[in-house]
Amino acid sequence: MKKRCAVKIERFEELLDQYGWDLASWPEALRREANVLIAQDAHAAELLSSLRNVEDILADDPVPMGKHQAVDDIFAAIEAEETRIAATDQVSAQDPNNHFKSIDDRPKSRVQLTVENFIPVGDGPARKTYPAKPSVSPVNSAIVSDGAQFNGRAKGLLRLLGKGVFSGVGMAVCVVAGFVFGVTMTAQQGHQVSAHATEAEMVDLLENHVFAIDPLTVDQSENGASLPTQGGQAQ
Amino acid sequence: MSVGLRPVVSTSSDTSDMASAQEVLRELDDNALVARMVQGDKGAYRVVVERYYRGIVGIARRMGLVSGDAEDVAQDVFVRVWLHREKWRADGGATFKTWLYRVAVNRVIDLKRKPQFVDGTELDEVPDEAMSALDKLAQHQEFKRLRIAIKKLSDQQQIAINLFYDRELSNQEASAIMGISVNAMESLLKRARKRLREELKTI
Repeated sequence: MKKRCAVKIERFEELLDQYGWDLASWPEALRREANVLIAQDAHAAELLSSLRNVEDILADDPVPMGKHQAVDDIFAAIEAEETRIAATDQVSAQDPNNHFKSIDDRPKSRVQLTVENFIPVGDGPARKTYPAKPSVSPVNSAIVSDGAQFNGRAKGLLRLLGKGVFSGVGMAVCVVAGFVFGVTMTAQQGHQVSAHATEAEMVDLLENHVFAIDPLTVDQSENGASLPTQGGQAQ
Repeated sequence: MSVGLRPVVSTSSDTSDMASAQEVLRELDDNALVARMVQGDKGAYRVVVERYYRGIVGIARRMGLVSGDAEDVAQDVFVRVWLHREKWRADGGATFKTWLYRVAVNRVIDLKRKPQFVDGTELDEVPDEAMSALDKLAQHQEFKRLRIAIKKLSDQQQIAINLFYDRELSNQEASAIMGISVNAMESLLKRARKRLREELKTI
């Protein structure tokens, strides 16, 4: 009597993809079911056989050791690379600009101006100009008797101003203020221009009116004629 | 006469000393060797190279490089690793082996992305003297067919398949080289196998 197979071929393919093409790596229960299917279904058996073959080829080591001298070649390449790097370093050491760089020990930023950075470290000669620890007034310990506490940064109000005004927020406020000022000035100028335009128009109208009225006035005063009526002729 | 012989005797002694030192180094595990390598011990690094050269060439070839290119990649990887050995951090979470393989995989990917890379259809034949000429041909044909199918997979799937079937790597190591979890690796492998199976049907 044939044992009923619970695994269909589609499910078998899915399991092959999931657990690999070697049934030995499958979970026990599934492997048993798969073996039943393989025994009953020639297509399943053929599929497994072809995939096992593929897996064998994949897992097979087709790589010969290569050249016997491969490791020696690697170390020769390492030597060559190290020689090249050393030569490059030597050339850059002989570069006059690099020479100045090496003796230029000026601090590159204000942060390096702190007292701690001036304190000699290691076995070098002790520095005479700056005390390693800031000396304190014998009268009031809060008073520092020398400038050793100076760290290159402004203190108090200047520091506050520096933080408040020259900081990023301060800059942003300045930019916004400048923008508002510019807009206001432009608007004001616009008003002035339009006012000038209106004024010019008025002047123009007045002048025209004066020039138009003037001869009539002159005529009226000189000839005693009445003003012309609308649609009529002057007498 | 004795003066003339002295250098010869001395050289022989040095050589045997070096050989015995190499033997001692070969007994060490990766961590000890790499610690020495970081300090600049070339003898220790030689043992590391001997230990992993074959694996690196293998992975480069599995990823589609022909023999000469694969050996070039291996050489390049080992030279780079030596020159940048101070970058290795033992507590970085990866083993030296997975780090080395990751460097190699990245190098192969870089090489394959270069436009001048010719995706060689010429594949090195597997030298197996025990096989008959007909078997060799059949195996070569099968190998070629498989390589064509693998090339149709995505890059990630190709790497997953190649690392998974590398005998020298465990699943954990393969997933660590790819920088993914074991679960993600299994999921990637499942998709890769399915695609490979479908591609093989059409070839």
